[in-house]
Amino acid sequence: MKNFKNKPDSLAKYTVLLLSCIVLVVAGSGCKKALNTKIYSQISPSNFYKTESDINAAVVVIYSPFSSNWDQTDLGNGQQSASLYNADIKTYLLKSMMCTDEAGTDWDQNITNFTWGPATYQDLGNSVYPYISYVAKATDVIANIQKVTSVSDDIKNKYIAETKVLRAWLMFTLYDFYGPVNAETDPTTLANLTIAPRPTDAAYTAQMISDLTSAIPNLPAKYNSDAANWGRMSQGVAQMLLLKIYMTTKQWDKAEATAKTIVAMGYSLMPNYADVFNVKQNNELIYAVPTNSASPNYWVQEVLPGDFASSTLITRGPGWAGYYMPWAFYNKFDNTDKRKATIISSYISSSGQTVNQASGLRGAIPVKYTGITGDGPGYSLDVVVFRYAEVLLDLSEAINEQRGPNDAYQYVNLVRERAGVTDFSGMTQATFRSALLDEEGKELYCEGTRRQELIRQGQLISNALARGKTSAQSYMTLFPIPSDVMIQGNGVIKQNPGYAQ
Amino acid sequence: MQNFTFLFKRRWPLLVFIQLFFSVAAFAQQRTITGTVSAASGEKLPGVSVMVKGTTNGVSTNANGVFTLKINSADATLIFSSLGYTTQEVAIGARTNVNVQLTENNKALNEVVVLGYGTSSKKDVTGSVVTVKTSDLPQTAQTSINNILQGQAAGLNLETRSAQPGGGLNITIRGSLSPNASNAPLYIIDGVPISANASAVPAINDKDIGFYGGVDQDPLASINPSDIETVTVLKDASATAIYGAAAANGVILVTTKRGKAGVATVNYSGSYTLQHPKSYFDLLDATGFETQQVRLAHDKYLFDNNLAPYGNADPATAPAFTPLFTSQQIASAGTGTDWLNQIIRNGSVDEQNISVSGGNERTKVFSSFNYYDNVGVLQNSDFKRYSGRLNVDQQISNSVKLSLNMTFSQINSDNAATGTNSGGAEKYNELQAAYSFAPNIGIYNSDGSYTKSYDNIITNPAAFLIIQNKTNTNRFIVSPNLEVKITNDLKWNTVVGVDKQTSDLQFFLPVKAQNYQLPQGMAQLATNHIENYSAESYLTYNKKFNSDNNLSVVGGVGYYKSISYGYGLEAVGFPTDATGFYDVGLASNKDQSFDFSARSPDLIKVSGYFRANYSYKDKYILTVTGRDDGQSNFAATKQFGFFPGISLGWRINQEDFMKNSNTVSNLKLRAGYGTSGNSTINGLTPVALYGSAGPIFVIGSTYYPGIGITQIANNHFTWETDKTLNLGLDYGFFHDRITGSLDIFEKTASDLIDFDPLPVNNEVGKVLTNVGETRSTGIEFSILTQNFKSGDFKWTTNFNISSYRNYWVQRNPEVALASYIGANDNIREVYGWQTDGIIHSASEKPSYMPNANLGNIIYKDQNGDGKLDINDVVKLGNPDPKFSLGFGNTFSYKNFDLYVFMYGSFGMYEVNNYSGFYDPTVINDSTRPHNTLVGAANIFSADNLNGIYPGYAANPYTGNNPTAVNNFYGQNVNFLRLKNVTLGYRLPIHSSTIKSIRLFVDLQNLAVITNYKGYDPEYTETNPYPLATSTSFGVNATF
Repeated sequence: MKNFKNKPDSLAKYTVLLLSCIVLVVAGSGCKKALNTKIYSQISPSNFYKTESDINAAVVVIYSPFSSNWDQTDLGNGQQSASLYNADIKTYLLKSMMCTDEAGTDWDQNITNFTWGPATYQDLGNSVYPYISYVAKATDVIANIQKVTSVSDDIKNKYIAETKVLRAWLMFTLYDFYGPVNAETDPTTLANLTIAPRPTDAAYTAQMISDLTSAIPNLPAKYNSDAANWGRMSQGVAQMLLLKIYMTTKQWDKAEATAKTIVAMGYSLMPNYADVFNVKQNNELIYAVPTNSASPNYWVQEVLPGDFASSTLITRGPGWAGYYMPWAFYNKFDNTDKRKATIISSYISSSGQTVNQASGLRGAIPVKYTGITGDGPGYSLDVVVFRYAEVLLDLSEAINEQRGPNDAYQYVNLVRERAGVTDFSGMTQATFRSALLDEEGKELYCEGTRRQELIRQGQLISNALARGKTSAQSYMTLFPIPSDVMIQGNGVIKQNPGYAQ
Repeated sequence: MQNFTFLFKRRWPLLVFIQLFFSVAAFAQQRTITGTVSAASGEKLPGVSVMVKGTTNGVSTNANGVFTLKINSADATLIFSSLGYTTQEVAIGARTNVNVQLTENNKALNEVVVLGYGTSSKKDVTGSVVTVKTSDLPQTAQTSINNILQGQAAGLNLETRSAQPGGGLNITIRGSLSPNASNAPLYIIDGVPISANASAVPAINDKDIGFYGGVDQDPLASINPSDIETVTVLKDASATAIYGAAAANGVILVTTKRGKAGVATVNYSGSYTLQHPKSYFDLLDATGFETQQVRLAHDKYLFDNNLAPYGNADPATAPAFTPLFTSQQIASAGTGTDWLNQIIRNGSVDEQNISVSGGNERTKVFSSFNYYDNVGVLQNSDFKRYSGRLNVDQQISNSVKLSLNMTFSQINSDNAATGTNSGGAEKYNELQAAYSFAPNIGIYNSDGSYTKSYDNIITNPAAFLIIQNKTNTNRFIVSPNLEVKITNDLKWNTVVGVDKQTSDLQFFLPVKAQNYQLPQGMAQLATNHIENYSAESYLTYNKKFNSDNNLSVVGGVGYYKSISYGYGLEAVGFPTDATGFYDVGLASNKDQSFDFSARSPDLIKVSGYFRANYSYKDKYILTVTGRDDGQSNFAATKQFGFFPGISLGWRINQEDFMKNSNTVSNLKLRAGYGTSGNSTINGLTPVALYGSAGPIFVIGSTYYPGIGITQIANNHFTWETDKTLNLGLDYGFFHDRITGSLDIFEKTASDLIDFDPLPVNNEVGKVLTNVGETRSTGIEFSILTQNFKSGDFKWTTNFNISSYRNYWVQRNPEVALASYIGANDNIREVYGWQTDGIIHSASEKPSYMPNANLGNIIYKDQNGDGKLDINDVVKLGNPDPKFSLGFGNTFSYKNFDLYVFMYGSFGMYEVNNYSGFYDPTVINDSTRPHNTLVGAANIFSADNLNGIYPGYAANPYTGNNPTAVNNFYGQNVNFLRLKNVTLGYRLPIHSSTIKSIRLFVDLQNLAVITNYKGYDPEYTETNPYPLATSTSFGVNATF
């Protein structure tokens, strides 16, 4: 045991030491070194973007909104948004169906009744607008790839081109729902706090077209025969997006030219309609979201009724009864139509009852992906997004809009012949227009294109009113800018016409 | 430090145990002294320590104040000591019978108050400080000291986040001023700051939407409440400034019990508590479910097909309505399955606590062991704690003292996931499943498998009983304190704190549970570590210069480090349930299985601090404090901050004009001003970072991880600074039969830790920044009265009330304020549209809602402009209470004692947590109806035009409300809760071995008086953990 009383020397020493340390700390120096912290499980800008695999990891983030899995958590602000092509009710895919005649749901009466407003889809329900931040992320990724010195230009250009196509696609998705928005494509203003106004329609579409056309030369034509890279952006995807932009903006001549470019790329219709959705990487696919068991396709699970046991098409356990095809739409299919065979209209329930329209089934079951095995809930069947049949139908539409149907029959009839229904012939421009709209509906049912087709032909609202959706108003072809964005915009961001501010 | 470690490792344990052994061992006997100890009033005093001076020989008086002591020296001096009385030495000479009268201390003034880095006598305290003695409070069936503090101190607000055993609480002192940083106070346990007061319990990784969860555990649940002697709350910045940058939200100083010189006492307390769930959500039975389903589905049918009264379509052209249940089915449905009954049960708490305290003048030891076993009223939420403590004070030499505090605890809990979840209704937890599962379905299918409801996303509630979700949390805190008396006036203390928490999660979702998203089963294993280290060294100087000047100075330095890291795995796809989480290698779905790990940046702080207290003539007191802190999580040029505080006290009753007053026994005016900082943003750093999102996109068949920017740099990021001005008055009347204090304060937080919300189109969304100013102003009043003091009957009343308002002073100029937000509104103000009932008939449809449907909510057109929009948004209310109070009464009559305690809050805006159940779409779905509350019978429909809740028809105006909030289910809530009624009886035992035995019954959570229309005014989440009324039977015995 130390007796400090007897050791004045050491005591004085300790005291001086202690006091001098107090002085040091109070002076705010000398302890600086102790405050250097290490970053353990995050990555700092100084050691990222060095290798091809770094670049790939950065680009994968831009791909992620298109995933088939439930949702994405934004790395920046932590916001969760449903993935664009997931089968959840909140997604771009489902919202595009549910305001049309091809599908119905009990899960969101605002979308089916046209009673949405600026505040309807906020937070978790707002699963499209938040992806505007991914446009900015893509802009940042493009700028950062350009700065990499240790990777060859060819590789860098390929990834830049992929990112540009993804950016254009994200921008098109936003454009489809909201019109032009202030998506961030300038890397020098990425951290700006000032709110930029919405650009003009012309400037916005020009930006998308410029991204796509500049990307095309640096991309492979397609990945249908490249199993490891299936799912990456290709020339085919870029051309398809160009076609969509021209169709949406009714630049029929450019749409026709672009569609013909795609026709020349060697895609073909699958002989059997059902195989389009069941055969991986088939030659009809321009883009399908790749799936595996961890990120599967949930569509079939979502549409099967809760008491499902078997039908002539499928035998498996019950589903989640999310969506249905109204009988009025189902009845548009000819009985010989092979596409109708991918839709269930009668099934045996788990209690052994036959369930169909007569027994009160609310609508047909648009299964579409028939090649399933097992009870799910998810299946590794790639989510079909863009395919050759849509190109042929768009081409027919573009031709008819410019000069009537004569030159257009050849393309739509390829699609009809595959479906096992008679060729179109002897129509006026107007009757062809109307017949083609139905044909697009039947061929591409529940693929998320119905809303675009109806809007192009000015039918979205009239069709809704005819179905008794009395709240539908002419301005509802665009969705409102969400009110939180409007509030942040503080008058700089203008609301879409017709909607409350 | 090296010497110290050596001492600690080698010599100390031996020394302690030898001393401990001797202190309780038998000794030689020569003669017997007996006597009675009483107070001036004549009252006999039990529990008085009677020691033979200079020895370890001693006893305590029994319940009648009588002691019997054997001594072996001829002329001894006895020392009589008892808390609250002046210690007295009596030379006994040849006497064998010694009767002693002890004089009462002037309790209120000589009471020692624990402050940072030392203590002060209460009369010298100039800041706003409240001390809560746990001995005054019933502690039965309370997992954490936090649960016990509720309502006990003015300005200390507790908001229980979950009634789950061990559940977390939000604790705030004088309100929440910081919108983004933590508002939790700093905890100091026996002088050691628990710098990251966080629970290590890992949450379930909910990347897969099928299951979510994790328990919200109070980090202080690992500290045995019975070990705690006092809790001191430092409220204003003049008192907290010595804790500087960590103290903006106030400081809670926890002091554990220590051994006292004297004969060893053994204290045992044991109790058994029965917990009865209070009436919980009143769900529809099978008949009610089928009836309401058909009624509301029919209404949906009318609306969807534009039929009257919603439209004018021709019924002949509409499809037929096929009800899900026929009238015969409904007639024979009966009550069906009560799903809540499957998961809610009677709970219990078995609590055993034993402590040994004793020692001599050189060695004092307190040790305890605690066993706490709570069977939760919700199945799968059990909580079991084992904890031990050893506090030792060892005088090493006349000038060197070593104090050592060690505690270890283990908490084994079952973590039924409750509360709201990020996945919304798709991740049904145990309670949500029970609300929603159809009551007309049995538990098992004929093959023994669990049934499915109409919506098969819902896991069968009974299947939750086979889902294992366990955590084991171990916590070890050791804090040695070496005190060296350099001179009589100068002391040097060195305190080291080591606090290590490790928690392991073991989760298994069996195949048999048939989870919709993970039908192949899933296991998760995870481990989290939280470590806090601290080292402090300070000098204390106390000096009385002549009789008038008293100076006390403390100053020192400190170093603190917090570390947090963890890892885990999820395994999916089990061929069998047999091995559970013990063999995750069996998992076959490699795509969906994954593992993860993370470590937050360490939080390092270096500090220098001082406090000087000067009093002149015991009348005028000046306290000056200051602290300089440097902390690692701020921008390099902004890491250091200085936080000063100053306070003055004037003891008016010491002035000549009042000195001889018979009425006023104490009157002290206090004024203080100080600053402190808020830096509680663990894991955040101001530098740019990229983070991994794990696998997020499939290319080919490979699930690729993505790495993206998570944060952009802010090179100016620094502390949030709080400034408090406090005026206080401490009073005592009639010889301190009435005491208490009154404080008013203004606390301003500036440079708020916040995020600049970057425009929505930005890639990151937000950047850390310091901006804006908020303020809390308030008043706190407390009073303690001894209503009856002498004789057999005693009655003491303790009352406190506080009121404050938290509001904005300055907003972030980068954030556009919506037109309806006022610059100085309350921080938590709720904005939205006001409502005016629902539309029951066409005539009730307001002119500005021409497209509204029957059954729609009527929104108020505030500005009368004929349309509903942002200009109709108004303030709906403030969730902060206007005032809160605590009210306790202690009665004693002879051997009986009774304690009654209630607390309450008034004027909070809250939303009815039943409201979600009155949405008709819950039950009217034709293919997957969910069950709901019996109140659903009051939902408007074509055949219930007098319904009070909105009907199915879509309201075309709701989407124009920019806040998406209305007050249809909102209300201003008041409540008063009767928290404890405790009745005790002290057995009239006259024994030298048993000092006292007290039996008690404690009734908890007996009643709540409230106007709240939902489940409970304090548990307003949508699926609250079921509350229980507890009845405890227990015994306290001292040997």
